[in-house]
Amino acid sequence: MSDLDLKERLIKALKGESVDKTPAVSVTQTAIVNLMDWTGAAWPEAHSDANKMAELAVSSHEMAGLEGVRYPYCLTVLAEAMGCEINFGTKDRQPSVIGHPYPNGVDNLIMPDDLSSKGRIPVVTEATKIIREKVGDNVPLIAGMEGPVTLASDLVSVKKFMKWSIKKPQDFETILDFATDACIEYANILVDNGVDIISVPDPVASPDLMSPVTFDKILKPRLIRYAESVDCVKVLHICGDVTPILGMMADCKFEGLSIEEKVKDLKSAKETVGDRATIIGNISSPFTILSGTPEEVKESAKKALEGGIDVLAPGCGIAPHSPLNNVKAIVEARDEYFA
Amino acid sequence: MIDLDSSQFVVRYNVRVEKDMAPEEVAKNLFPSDEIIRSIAVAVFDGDEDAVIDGLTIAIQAGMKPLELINNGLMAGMDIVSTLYDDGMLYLPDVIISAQAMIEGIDHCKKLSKEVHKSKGKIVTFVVEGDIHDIGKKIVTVLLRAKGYDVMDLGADVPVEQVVAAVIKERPIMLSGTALMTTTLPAFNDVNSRLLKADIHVPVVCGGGAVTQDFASGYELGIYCEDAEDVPKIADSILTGFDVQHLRKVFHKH
Repeated sequence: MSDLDLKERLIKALKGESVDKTPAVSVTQTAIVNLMDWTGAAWPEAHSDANKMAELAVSSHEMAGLEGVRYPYCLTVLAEAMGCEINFGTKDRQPSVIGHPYPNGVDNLIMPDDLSSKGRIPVVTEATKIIREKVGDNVPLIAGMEGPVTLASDLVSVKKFMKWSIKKPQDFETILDFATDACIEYANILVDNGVDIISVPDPVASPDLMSPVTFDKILKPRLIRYAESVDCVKVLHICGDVTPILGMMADCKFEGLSIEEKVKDLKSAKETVGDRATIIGNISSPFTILSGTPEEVKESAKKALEGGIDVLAPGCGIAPHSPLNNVKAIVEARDEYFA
Repeated sequence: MIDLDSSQFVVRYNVRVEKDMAPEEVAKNLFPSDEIIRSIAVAVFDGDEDAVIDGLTIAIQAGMKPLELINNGLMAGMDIVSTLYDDGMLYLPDVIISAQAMIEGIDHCKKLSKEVHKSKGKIVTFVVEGDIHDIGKKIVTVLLRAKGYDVMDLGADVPVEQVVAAVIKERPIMLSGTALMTTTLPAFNDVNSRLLKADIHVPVVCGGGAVTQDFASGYELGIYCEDAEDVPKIADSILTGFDVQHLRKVFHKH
Protein backbone atom coordinates (compact mmCIF):
# COMPACT_ATOMS: atom_id res chain seq x y z
CA MET A 1 0.00 0.00 0.00
CA SER A 2 2.94 2.36 0.59
CA ASP A 3 3.45 2.16 -3.16
CA LEU A 4 0.53 4.49 -3.72
CA ASP A 5 1.42 7.58 -5.73
CA LEU A 6 -0.11 10.95 -4.88
CA LYS A 7 -2.88 10.60 -7.43
CA GLU A 8 -3.87 7.08 -6.39
CA ARG A 9 -3.80 8.02 -2.71
CA LEU A 10 -6.02 11.09 -3.16
CA ILE A 11 -8.53 9.36 -5.40
CA LYS A 12 -8.75 6.36 -3.09
CA ALA A 13 -9.17 8.60 -0.05
CA LEU A 14 -11.90 10.64 -1.76
CA LYS A 15 -13.73 7.44 -2.65
CA GLY A 16 -13.54 6.31 0.97
CA GLU A 17 -11.11 3.45 0.31
CA SER A 18 -8.37 2.80 2.85
CA VAL A 19 -4.99 4.48 2.36
CA ASP A 20 -1.64 4.37 4.15
CA LYS A 21 -1.87 8.04 5.20
CA THR A 22 -4.34 10.87 4.79
CA PRO A 23 -3.58 13.00 1.71
CA ALA A 24 -2.86 16.70 2.31
CA VAL A 25 -4.02 19.00 -0.48
CA SER A 26 -6.14 22.04 -1.14
CA VAL A 27 -9.36 21.63 -3.14
CA THR A 28 -9.87 25.39 -2.94
CA GLN A 29 -7.83 28.36 -4.18
CA THR A 30 -4.06 27.92 -3.56
CA ALA A 31 -2.20 30.98 -4.90
CA ILE A 32 -0.31 33.12 -2.38
CA VAL A 33 1.68 36.30 -2.87
CA ASN A 34 4.93 34.63 -1.66
CA LEU A 35 4.70 32.18 -4.53
CA MET A 36 3.64 34.84 -7.05
CA ASP A 37 6.86 36.71 -6.18
CA TRP A 38 8.94 33.55 -6.29
CA THR A 39 7.66 32.37 -9.68
CA GLY A 40 7.04 35.74 -11.30
CA ALA A 41 3.60 34.41 -12.23
CA ALA A 42 1.19 36.73 -10.45
CA TRP A 43 -2.47 37.66 -10.39
CA PRO A 44 -4.24 39.08 -12.31
CA GLU A 45 -2.21 37.82 -15.32
CA ALA A 46 -2.23 34.22 -14.05
CA HIS A 47 -6.01 34.16 -14.54
CA SER A 48 -5.69 34.63 -18.30
CA ASP A 49 -2.21 33.40 -19.26
CA ALA A 50 -1.93 29.60 -19.47
CA ASN A 51 1.80 29.48 -18.76
CA LYS A 52 1.51 31.71 -15.69
CA MET A 53 -1.57 29.87 -14.48
CA ALA A 54 0.34 26.57 -14.75
CA GLU A 55 3.54 27.85 -13.18
CA LEU A 56 1.82 29.39 -10.15
CA ALA A 57 -0.33 26.26 -9.64
CA VAL A 58 2.65 23.91 -9.81
CA SER A 59 4.55 26.05 -7.28
CA SER A 60 2.07 25.27 -4.51
CA HIS A 61 2.81 21.59 -5.15
CA GLU A 62 6.57 21.92 -5.54
CA MET A 63 7.29 24.74 -3.06
CA ALA A 64 4.49 24.38 -0.50
CA GLY A 65 4.32 20.61 -0.74
CA LEU A 66 0.57 20.27 -1.37
CA GLU A 67 -0.08 16.82 -2.81
CA GLY A 68 -1.92 17.93 -5.90
CA VAL A 69 -2.05 20.82 -8.36
CA ARG A 70 -5.15 22.94 -7.94
CA TYR A 71 -6.16 25.67 -10.44
CA PRO A 72 -7.52 28.11 -11.65
CA TYR A 73 -7.80 30.76 -8.90
CA CYS A 74 -11.29 32.13 -9.33
CA LEU A 75 -14.91 31.12 -9.77
CA THR A 76 -15.47 33.20 -12.87
CA VAL A 77 -14.14 31.21 -15.86
CA LEU A 78 -17.46 29.62 -16.79
CA ALA A 79 -19.41 32.73 -15.75
CA GLU A 80 -17.35 34.79 -18.18
CA ALA A 81 -17.79 32.25 -20.99
CA MET A 82 -21.55 32.44 -20.37
CA GLY A 83 -21.64 36.23 -20.75
CA CYS A 84 -20.94 37.67 -17.29
CA GLU A 85 -18.74 40.74 -16.99
CA ILE A 86 -15.66 40.15 -14.82
CA ASN A 87 -13.46 42.44 -12.74
CA PHE A 88 -10.08 40.71 -12.80
CA GLY A 89 -8.97 42.11 -9.45
CA THR A 90 -5.36 42.69 -8.46
CA LYS A 91 -2.36 40.75 -7.25
CA ASP A 92 -4.13 40.01 -3.98
CA ARG A 93 -7.76 40.33 -4.94
CA GLN A 94 -9.66 37.54 -6.68
CA PRO A 95 -11.70 38.18 -9.83
CA SER A 96 -15.41 38.71 -9.33
CA VAL A 97 -18.55 38.94 -11.42
CA ILE A 98 -19.73 42.53 -11.84
CA GLY A 99 -22.21 42.31 -14.73
CA HIS A 100 -25.02 39.80 -15.27
CA PRO A 101 -26.42 38.85 -18.68
CA TYR A 102 -29.99 37.95 -17.61
CA PRO A 103 -31.20 40.23 -14.78
CA ASN A 104 -34.61 40.72 -16.38
CA GLY A 105 -35.77 37.20 -16.99
CA VAL A 106 -35.18 33.85 -18.63
CA ASP A 107 -36.88 34.35 -22.00
CA ASN A 108 -33.73 34.66 -24.07
CA LEU A 109 -31.14 32.34 -22.55
CA ILE A 110 -28.38 31.59 -25.03
CA MET A 111 -26.14 28.53 -24.64
CA PRO A 112 -22.88 29.16 -26.53
CA ASP A 113 -22.40 26.81 -29.51
CA ASP A 114 -18.79 26.06 -28.82
CA LEU A 115 -18.26 26.53 -25.11
CA SER A 116 -14.69 25.16 -25.21
CA SER A 117 -13.54 28.18 -27.24
CA LYS A 118 -15.27 30.82 -25.10
CA GLY A 119 -13.64 33.27 -22.68
CA ARG A 120 -10.76 31.78 -20.69
CA ILE A 121 -11.82 28.15 -21.11
CA PRO A 122 -9.02 27.62 -23.71
CA VAL A 123 -6.56 29.06 -21.14
CA VAL A 124 -7.63 26.49 -18.53
CA THR A 125 -7.41 23.57 -20.97
CA GLU A 126 -4.00 24.76 -22.17
CA ALA A 127 -2.80 25.14 -18.57
CA THR A 128 -3.99 21.58 -17.88
CA LYS A 129 -1.69 20.26 -20.61
CA ILE A 130 1.27 22.32 -19.40
CA ILE A 131 0.80 21.20 -15.79
CA ARG A 132 0.50 17.54 -16.77
CA GLU A 133 3.74 17.83 -18.71
CA LYS A 134 5.49 19.42 -15.72
CA VAL A 135 4.34 17.07 -12.97
CA GLY A 136 3.73 13.81 -14.83
CA ASP A 137 0.91 11.31 -14.46
CA ASN A 138 1.30 10.55 -10.78
CA VAL A 139 0.30 13.92 -9.36
CA PRO A 140 -3.44 14.67 -9.24
CA LEU A 141 -4.73 17.66 -11.23
CA ILE A 142 -7.60 19.31 -9.38
CA ALA A 143 -9.60 21.80 -11.44
CA GLY A 144 -11.95 24.18 -9.67
CA MET A 145 -15.16 25.53 -11.18
CA GLU A 146 -18.22 27.36 -9.88
CA GLY A 147 -21.21 25.13 -9.13
CA PRO A 148 -24.64 25.40 -10.79
CA VAL A 149 -26.22 27.44 -7.99
CA THR A 150 -23.46 30.05 -7.97
CA LEU A 151 -23.39 30.23 -11.77
CA ALA A 152 -27.18 30.70 -11.87
CA SER A 153 -26.89 33.58 -9.36
CA ASP A 154 -24.06 35.13 -11.42
CA LEU A 155 -26.20 34.99 -14.56
CA VAL A 156 -29.09 36.93 -12.99
CA SER A 157 -27.46 38.63 -9.90
CA VAL A 158 -27.63 37.23 -6.37
CA LYS A 159 -30.42 39.55 -5.29
CA LYS A 160 -32.69 38.65 -8.24
CA PHE A 161 -31.80 35.00 -7.72
CA MET A 162 -33.00 35.11 -4.11
CA LYS A 163 -36.15 36.99 -5.05
CA TRP A 164 -37.00 34.52 -7.78
CA SER A 165 -36.55 31.66 -5.34
CA ILE A 166 -39.79 32.83 -3.73
CA LYS A 167 -41.53 35.09 -6.21
CA LYS A 168 -40.80 33.42 -9.54
CA PRO A 169 -40.22 29.74 -8.81
CA GLN A 170 -40.57 28.83 -12.48
CA ASP A 171 -37.83 31.26 -13.58
CA PHE A 172 -35.72 30.16 -10.61
CA GLU A 173 -35.83 26.54 -11.78
CA THR A 174 -35.27 27.52 -15.42
CA ILE A 175 -32.07 29.47 -14.68
CA LEU A 176 -30.83 26.64 -12.44
CA ASP A 177 -31.38 24.07 -15.18
CA PHE A 178 -29.65 26.31 -17.70
CA ALA A 179 -26.68 26.82 -15.37
CA THR A 180 -26.52 23.08 -14.62
CA ASP A 181 -26.36 22.28 -18.35
CA ALA A 182 -23.47 24.75 -18.74
CA CYS A 183 -21.62 23.33 -15.71
CA ILE A 184 -21.94 19.77 -17.04
CA GLU A 185 -20.63 20.78 -20.45
CA TYR A 186 -17.67 22.68 -18.98
CA ALA A 187 -16.83 19.89 -16.53
CA ASN A 188 -16.73 17.37 -19.36
CA ILE A 189 -14.40 19.65 -21.34
CA LEU A 190 -12.08 19.61 -18.30
CA VAL A 191 -12.28 15.81 -17.99
CA ASP A 192 -11.60 15.34 -21.72
CA ASN A 193 -8.46 17.44 -21.31
CA GLY A 194 -7.03 15.25 -18.58
CA VAL A 195 -8.18 16.73 -15.26
CA ASP A 196 -8.31 14.06 -12.51
CA ILE A 197 -10.58 15.69 -9.94
CA ILE A 198 -13.10 18.49 -10.21
CA SER A 199 -13.67 20.66 -7.17
CA VAL A 200 -16.96 22.54 -7.22
CA PRO A 201 -17.31 25.43 -4.78
CA ASP A 202 -20.96 26.49 -4.71
CA PRO A 203 -21.02 29.27 -2.08
CA VAL A 204 -24.49 30.59 -2.97
CA ALA A 205 -25.99 27.23 -1.96
CA SER A 206 -24.87 27.91 1.65
CA PRO A 207 -27.52 28.08 4.39
CA ASP A 208 -26.21 31.63 4.98
CA LEU A 209 -28.08 32.52 1.79
CA MET A 210 -30.58 29.84 0.77
CA SER A 211 -32.87 27.88 3.07
CA PRO A 212 -32.24 24.17 3.68
CA VAL A 213 -35.75 23.48 2.36
CA THR A 214 -34.84 25.16 -0.95
CA PHE A 215 -31.58 23.23 -0.97
CA ASP A 216 -33.36 19.93 -0.46
CA LYS A 217 -36.22 20.45 -2.90
CA ILE A 218 -34.70 22.58 -5.67
CA LEU A 219 -30.89 22.78 -5.50
CA LYS A 220 -30.06 19.18 -4.58
CA PRO A 221 -31.68 17.62 -7.70
CA ARG A 222 -29.54 19.92 -9.90
CA LEU A 223 -26.35 19.02 -8.05
CA ILE A 224 -27.22 15.32 -8.40
CA ARG A 225 -27.81 15.70 -12.14
CA TYR A 226 -24.43 17.46 -12.43
CA ALA A 227 -22.62 14.76 -10.45
CA GLU A 228 -24.22 11.95 -12.44
CA SER A 229 -23.28 13.59 -15.75
CA VAL A 230 -19.59 14.18 -15.05
CA ASP A 231 -17.35 11.14 -15.16
CA CYS A 232 -14.53 11.80 -12.71
CA VAL A 233 -14.01 12.13 -8.97
CA LYS A 234 -15.76 15.28 -7.72
CA VAL A 235 -15.72 17.40 -4.58
CA LEU A 236 -18.55 19.72 -3.49
CA HIS A 237 -17.46 22.72 -1.39
CA ILE A 238 -20.07 24.88 0.32
CA CYS A 239 -19.02 27.76 2.58
CA GLY A 240 -20.28 28.63 6.04
CA ASP A 241 -21.73 26.39 8.72
CA VAL A 242 -23.34 23.73 6.53
CA THR A 243 -24.43 21.55 9.45
CA PRO A 244 -28.16 21.91 8.55
CA ILE A 245 -27.62 20.68 4.96
CA LEU A 246 -24.72 18.27 5.40
CA GLY A 247 -26.96 15.21 5.14
CA MET A 248 -28.48 16.58 1.94
CA MET A 249 -25.03 17.38 0.52
CA ALA A 250 -24.12 13.74 1.11
CA ASP A 251 -27.02 12.76 -1.18
CA CYS A 252 -25.61 14.83 -4.05
CA LYS A 253 -23.43 11.97 -5.37
CA PHE A 254 -20.14 13.84 -5.11
CA GLU A 255 -17.38 11.59 -3.80
CA GLY A 256 -16.12 14.23 -1.36
CA LEU A 257 -17.58 17.14 0.61
CA SER A 258 -15.29 20.02 1.53
CA ILE A 259 -16.28 21.93 4.66
CA GLU A 260 -15.09 24.90 6.71
CA GLU A 261 -14.08 24.96 10.35
CA LYS A 262 -17.47 26.61 10.97
CA VAL A 263 -18.85 23.06 11.06
CA LYS A 264 -17.91 22.72 14.70
CA ASP A 265 -18.33 19.02 15.37
CA LEU A 266 -16.35 16.98 12.85
CA LYS A 267 -17.18 13.64 14.44
CA SER A 268 -20.92 14.09 14.19
CA ALA A 269 -20.47 15.51 10.68
CA LYS A 270 -18.79 12.22 9.78
CA GLU A 271 -21.68 10.33 11.34
CA THR A 272 -24.26 12.38 9.44
CA VAL A 273 -22.54 11.76 6.12
CA GLY A 274 -21.83 8.08 6.83
CA ASP A 275 -20.54 6.15 3.84
CA ARG A 276 -22.32 8.36 1.32
CA ALA A 277 -19.35 10.73 0.92
CA THR A 278 -15.95 11.55 2.38
CA ILE A 279 -15.06 14.77 4.20
CA ILE A 280 -12.30 17.20 3.27
CA GLY A 281 -11.06 20.11 5.35
CA ASN A 282 -11.11 21.88 7.65
CA ILE A 283 -8.17 24.03 8.79
CA SER A 284 -9.40 27.62 9.08
CA SER A 285 -8.16 29.66 6.11
CA PRO A 286 -8.65 33.16 7.56
CA PHE A 287 -7.96 32.49 11.25
CA THR A 288 -5.20 29.87 11.15
CA ILE A 289 -3.49 29.65 7.75
CA LEU A 290 -3.63 33.40 7.18
CA SER A 291 -3.18 34.85 10.64
CA GLY A 292 -1.86 31.97 12.73
CA THR A 293 1.60 30.43 13.14
CA PRO A 294 2.85 27.15 11.62
CA GLU A 295 2.38 25.62 15.10
CA GLU A 296 -1.25 26.68 15.14
CA VAL A 297 -1.77 25.25 11.66
CA LYS A 298 -0.32 21.95 12.86
CA GLU A 299 -2.49 21.92 15.95
CA SER A 300 -5.59 22.51 13.85
CA ALA A 301 -4.49 19.85 11.32
CA LYS A 302 -3.98 17.35 14.12
CA LYS A 303 -7.47 18.05 15.41
CA ALA A 304 -8.92 17.41 11.94
CA LEU A 305 -6.97 14.16 11.58
CA GLU A 306 -8.08 12.99 15.01
CA GLY A 307 -11.66 13.86 14.06
CA GLY A 308 -11.39 11.43 11.16
CA ILE A 309 -11.02 13.82 8.23
CA ASP A 310 -10.59 11.83 4.99
CA VAL A 311 -8.49 14.45 3.20
CA LEU A 312 -6.60 17.16 5.10
CA ALA A 313 -7.06 20.59 3.50
CA PRO A 314 -7.80 24.25 4.19
CA GLY A 315 -11.48 24.86 5.02
CA CYS A 316 -11.81 27.41 2.22
CA GLY A 317 -9.69 29.26 -0.35
CA ILE A 318 -6.22 30.18 0.93
CA ALA A 319 -5.97 33.96 1.42
CA PRO A 320 -3.29 35.48 -0.86
CA HIS A 321 -1.30 36.93 2.05
CA SER A 322 -1.01 33.64 3.90
CA PRO A 323 2.67 32.95 4.71
CA LEU A 324 4.31 30.13 2.74
CA ASN A 325 5.42 28.46 5.99
CA ASN A 326 1.81 28.16 7.12
CA VAL A 327 0.84 26.41 3.90
CA LYS A 328 3.87 24.13 4.18
CA ALA A 329 2.80 23.26 7.74
CA ILE A 330 -0.29 21.45 6.41
CA VAL A 331 1.74 18.62 4.86
CA GLU A 332 4.31 18.73 7.69
CA ALA A 333 1.53 18.22 10.23
CA ARG A 334 0.24 15.21 8.33
CA ASP A 335 3.77 13.74 8.14
CA GLU A 336 4.30 14.22 11.88
CA TYR A 337 0.93 12.65 12.64
CA PHE A 338 1.74 9.55 10.61
CA ALA A 339 5.42 9.34 11.64
CA MET B 1 -49.30 11.07 35.56
CA ILE B 2 -49.24 13.67 32.85
CA ASP B 3 -46.65 12.91 30.21
CA LEU B 4 -45.11 16.20 29.18
CA ASP B 5 -42.48 15.80 26.52
CA SER B 6 -40.69 19.13 26.55
CA SER B 7 -38.77 18.30 23.37
CA GLN B 8 -42.01 18.61 21.42
CA PHE B 9 -42.55 22.30 22.05
CA VAL B 10 -40.85 25.39 23.36
CA VAL B 11 -42.22 28.75 24.32
CA ARG B 12 -40.90 31.53 22.15
CA TYR B 13 -42.19 35.05 21.55
CA ASN B 14 -44.73 34.18 24.28
CA VAL B 15 -46.22 31.70 21.86
CA ARG B 16 -46.14 27.97 22.23
CA VAL B 17 -44.11 26.84 19.24
CA GLU B 18 -44.42 23.18 18.39
CA LYS B 19 -41.58 21.27 16.86
CA ASP B 20 -41.53 21.40 13.06
CA MET B 21 -44.10 24.19 12.98
CA ALA B 22 -44.02 26.13 9.69
CA PRO B 23 -42.96 29.81 10.01
CA GLU B 24 -46.38 30.86 8.64
CA GLU B 25 -48.09 29.13 11.55
CA VAL B 26 -45.78 30.76 14.10
CA ALA B 27 -46.32 34.16 12.48
CA LYS B 28 -50.11 33.73 12.59
CA ASN B 29 -49.98 34.14 16.36
CA LEU B 30 -47.78 37.22 16.20
CA PHE B 31 -49.62 39.47 13.73
CA PRO B 32 -51.48 42.54 15.09
CA SER B 33 -55.08 41.76 16.08
CA ASP B 34 -56.84 44.67 14.34
CA GLU B 35 -58.15 43.13 11.12
CA ILE B 36 -57.26 46.02 8.79
CA ILE B 37 -53.76 46.48 10.19
CA ARG B 38 -53.25 42.74 10.33
CA SER B 39 -53.78 42.45 6.55
CA ILE B 40 -50.95 44.97 5.99
CA ALA B 41 -48.56 43.08 8.27
CA VAL B 42 -49.48 39.79 6.59
CA ALA B 43 -48.84 41.31 3.15
CA VAL B 44 -45.35 42.43 4.28
CA PHE B 45 -44.69 38.97 5.71
CA ASP B 46 -45.71 37.43 2.37
CA GLY B 47 -43.57 39.94 0.45
CA ASP B 48 -46.62 40.88 -1.61
CA GLU B 49 -46.24 44.55 -2.66
CA ASP B 50 -49.67 44.77 -4.33
CA ALA B 51 -51.43 43.45 -1.24
CA VAL B 52 -49.44 45.97 0.87
CA ILE B 53 -50.73 48.90 -1.20
CA ASP B 54 -54.29 47.46 -1.22
CA GLY B 55 -54.20 47.02 2.57
CA LEU B 56 -52.88 50.56 3.08
CA THR B 57 -55.56 52.01 0.79
CA ILE B 58 -58.35 50.30 2.78
CA ALA B 59 -56.82 51.43 6.09
CA ILE B 60 -56.48 55.05 4.95
CA GLN B 61 -60.06 55.04 3.65
CA ALA B 62 -61.09 53.82 7.09
CA GLY B 63 -59.48 56.96 8.53
CA MET B 64 -56.14 55.66 9.76
CA LYS B 65 -53.08 57.90 9.49
CA PRO B 66 -50.45 56.87 6.90
CA LEU B 67 -47.52 57.51 9.26
CA GLU B 68 -49.05 55.41 11.99
CA LEU B 69 -49.55 52.58 9.53
CA ILE B 70 -45.80 52.57 8.91
CA ASN B 71 -45.15 51.59 12.51
CA ASN B 72 -48.27 49.59 13.33
CA GLY B 73 -48.64 47.67 10.09
CA LEU B 74 -45.57 47.72 7.86
CA MET B 75 -42.85 47.63 10.52
CA ALA B 76 -44.87 45.22 12.65
CA GLY B 77 -44.97 42.73 9.77
CA MET B 78 -41.27 43.20 9.08
CA ASP B 79 -40.44 42.78 12.74
CA ILE B 80 -41.97 39.29 12.68
CA VAL B 81 -39.88 38.42 9.61
CA SER B 82 -36.71 39.68 11.34
CA THR B 83 -37.49 37.74 14.50
CA LEU B 84 -38.07 34.49 12.65
CA TYR B 85 -34.91 35.10 10.58
CA ASP B 86 -32.87 35.61 13.77
CA ASP B 87 -34.27 32.33 14.96
CA GLY B 88 -33.39 30.41 11.82
CA MET B 89 -37.02 29.84 10.80
CA LEU B 90 -36.83 32.17 7.79
CA TYR B 91 -33.94 32.79 5.39
CA LEU B 92 -32.37 35.70 3.57
CA PRO B 93 -34.62 35.47 0.45
CA ASP B 94 -37.66 35.91 2.75
CA VAL B 95 -36.10 39.00 4.34
CA ILE B 96 -35.31 40.50 0.94
CA ILE B 97 -38.83 40.19 -0.49
CA SER B 98 -40.49 41.37 2.74
CA ALA B 99 -38.13 44.34 3.04
CA GLN B 100 -38.94 45.31 -0.54
CA ALA B 101 -42.69 45.16 0.16
CA MET B 102 -42.19 47.20 3.36
CA ILE B 103 -40.11 49.87 1.61
CA GLU B 104 -42.74 50.27 -1.15
CA GLY B 105 -45.39 50.56 1.56
CA ILE B 106 -43.37 53.22 3.42
CA ASP B 107 -42.90 55.24 0.21
CA HIS B 108 -46.66 55.02 -0.42
CA CYS B 109 -47.45 56.28 3.09
CA LYS B 110 -44.90 59.09 2.88
CA LYS B 111 -46.47 60.31 -0.36
CA LEU B 112 -49.91 60.47 1.23
CA SER B 113 -48.82 62.16 4.44
CA LYS B 114 -48.17 65.81 5.12
CA GLU B 115 -46.17 65.09 8.23
CA VAL B 116 -42.58 63.86 7.98
CA HIS B 117 -41.78 60.25 8.80
CA LYS B 118 -38.73 59.90 11.02
CA SER B 119 -36.56 56.84 10.61
CA LYS B 120 -35.03 55.21 13.71
CA GLY B 121 -31.65 56.60 12.71
CA LYS B 122 -29.12 56.93 9.92
CA ILE B 123 -26.45 54.29 9.37
CA VAL B 124 -23.66 54.19 6.78
CA THR B 125 -22.53 50.80 5.40
CA PHE B 126 -19.48 50.11 3.22
CA VAL B 127 -16.91 47.53 2.14
CA VAL B 128 -13.39 48.84 2.77
CA GLU B 129 -11.15 50.15 0.04
CA GLY B 130 -9.56 47.40 -2.02
CA ASP B 131 -12.23 44.81 -1.29
CA ILE B 132 -15.10 43.91 -3.59
CA HIS B 133 -16.67 41.07 -1.58
CA ASP B 134 -19.97 42.68 -0.67
CA ILE B 135 -22.40 39.89 0.18
CA GLY B 136 -21.91 40.46 3.92
CA LYS B 137 -22.55 44.17 3.56
CA LYS B 138 -25.66 43.45 1.46
CA ILE B 139 -27.04 41.23 4.20
CA VAL B 140 -26.31 43.84 6.88
CA THR B 141 -27.95 46.58 4.80
CA VAL B 142 -31.13 44.55 4.23
CA LEU B 143 -31.41 43.65 7.92
CA LEU B 144 -30.92 47.27 9.06
CA ARG B 145 -33.50 48.60 6.58
CA ALA B 146 -35.85 45.87 7.72
CA LYS B 147 -35.54 47.22 11.27
CA GLY B 148 -36.49 50.72 10.17
CA TYR B 149 -33.07 52.34 9.86
CA ASP B 150 -32.27 54.76 7.09
CA VAL B 151 -29.22 53.10 5.53
CA MET B 152 -26.80 54.84 3.23
CA ASP B 153 -25.04 52.03 1.35
CA LEU B 154 -21.75 53.33 -0.03
CA GLY B 155 -21.03 50.09 -1.93
CA ALA B 156 -17.81 48.09 -2.21
CA ASP B 157 -14.16 49.18 -2.51
CA VAL B 158 -14.95 52.55 -0.91
CA PRO B 159 -12.04 55.00 -0.44
CA VAL B 160 -11.47 56.20 3.13
CA GLU B 161 -12.08 59.83 2.10
CA GLN B 162 -15.53 58.92 0.83
CA VAL B 163 -16.44 57.11 4.06
CA VAL B 164 -15.33 60.06 6.19
CA ALA B 165 -17.10 62.57 3.91
CA ALA B 166 -20.34 60.57 4.17
CA VAL B 167 -20.09 60.49 7.97
CA ILE B 168 -19.50 64.26 8.19
CA LYS B 169 -22.43 64.93 5.89
CA GLU B 170 -24.95 62.39 7.20
CA ARG B 171 -23.98 62.24 10.89
CA PRO B 172 -25.04 58.56 11.24
CA ILE B 173 -25.51 56.89 14.63
CA MET B 174 -23.18 54.10 13.50
CA LEU B 175 -20.91 52.86 10.69
CA SER B 176 -20.77 49.29 9.44
CA GLY B 177 -17.63 48.31 7.55
CA THR B 178 -16.73 44.88 6.20
CA ALA B 179 -13.49 43.38 4.90
CA LEU B 180 -12.86 39.90 3.62
CA MET B 181 -9.16 40.22 2.99
CA THR B 182 -6.48 41.13 5.49
CA THR B 183 -4.68 43.26 2.93
CA THR B 184 -7.49 45.75 3.23
CA LEU B 185 -7.54 45.92 7.04
CA PRO B 186 -5.40 49.08 7.30
CA ALA B 187 -8.38 50.94 5.83
CA PHE B 188 -10.15 50.53 9.19
CA ASN B 189 -7.23 52.20 10.89
CA ASP B 190 -7.49 55.16 8.51
CA VAL B 191 -11.26 55.47 8.99
CA ASN B 192 -10.82 55.35 12.79
CA SER B 193 -8.07 57.96 12.96
CA ARG B 194 -9.66 60.31 10.44
CA LEU B 195 -12.94 60.27 12.36
CA LEU B 196 -11.20 60.93 15.67
CA LYS B 197 -9.28 63.78 14.08
CA ALA B 198 -12.60 65.29 13.01
CA ASP B 199 -13.79 64.76 16.61
CA ILE B 200 -16.52 62.34 15.51
CA HIS B 201 -16.99 59.50 17.97
CA VAL B 202 -19.34 57.25 16.04
CA PRO B 203 -19.12 53.49 16.68
CA VAL B 204 -17.61 51.54 13.75
CA VAL B 205 -18.91 47.99 13.53
CA CYS B 206 -16.25 45.83 11.85
CA GLY B 207 -17.10 42.46 10.32
CA GLY B 208 -16.19 40.04 7.55
CA GLY B 209 -13.82 37.10 7.15
CA ALA B 210 -10.57 39.00 7.72
CA VAL B 211 -11.65 40.83 10.88
CA THR B 212 -11.05 39.41 14.34
CA GLN B 213 -12.17 40.66 17.73
CA ASP B 214 -8.63 41.55 18.76
CA PHE B 215 -8.21 43.55 15.60
CA ALA B 216 -11.45 45.52 16.04
CA SER B 217 -10.71 46.15 19.73
CA GLY B 218 -7.41 47.76 18.75
CA TYR B 219 -9.25 50.84 17.50
CA GLU B 220 -10.93 53.35 19.74
CA LEU B 221 -14.19 53.24 17.75
CA GLY B 222 -14.10 49.58 16.72
CA ILE B 223 -16.76 47.02 17.62
CA TYR B 224 -16.37 43.46 16.46
CA CYS B 225 -19.37 41.68 14.99
CA GLU B 226 -19.42 38.08 13.82
CA ASP B 227 -23.05 37.59 12.84
CA ALA B 228 -24.95 39.92 10.53
CA GLU B 229 -28.03 39.37 12.72
CA ASP B 230 -26.27 41.22 15.55
CA VAL B 231 -25.84 44.48 13.62
CA PRO B 232 -29.45 45.72 14.07
CA LYS B 233 -29.20 44.79 17.76
CA ILE B 234 -26.05 46.90 18.07
CA ALA B 235 -27.89 49.81 16.40
CA ASP B 236 -30.84 49.41 18.78
CA SER B 237 -28.42 49.46 21.71
CA ILE B 238 -26.80 52.67 20.44
CA LEU B 239 -30.25 54.29 20.41
CA THR B 240 -30.66 53.37 24.07
CA GLY B 241 -27.39 55.16 24.85
CA PHE B 242 -24.70 52.46 24.75
CA ASP B 243 -21.16 53.70 24.05
CA VAL B 244 -18.31 51.74 22.46
CA GLN B 245 -17.09 50.21 25.74
CA HIS B 246 -20.59 49.15 26.71
CA LEU B 247 -21.28 47.70 23.24
CA ARG B 248 -18.08 45.67 23.40
CA LYS B 249 -19.12 44.24 26.75
CA VAL B 250 -22.41 43.00 25.32
CA PHE B 251 -21.50 41.99 21.78
CA HIS B 252 -17.89 40.78 21.98
CA LYS B 253 -18.09 37.02 22.26
CA HIS B 254 -14.50 35.86 22.62
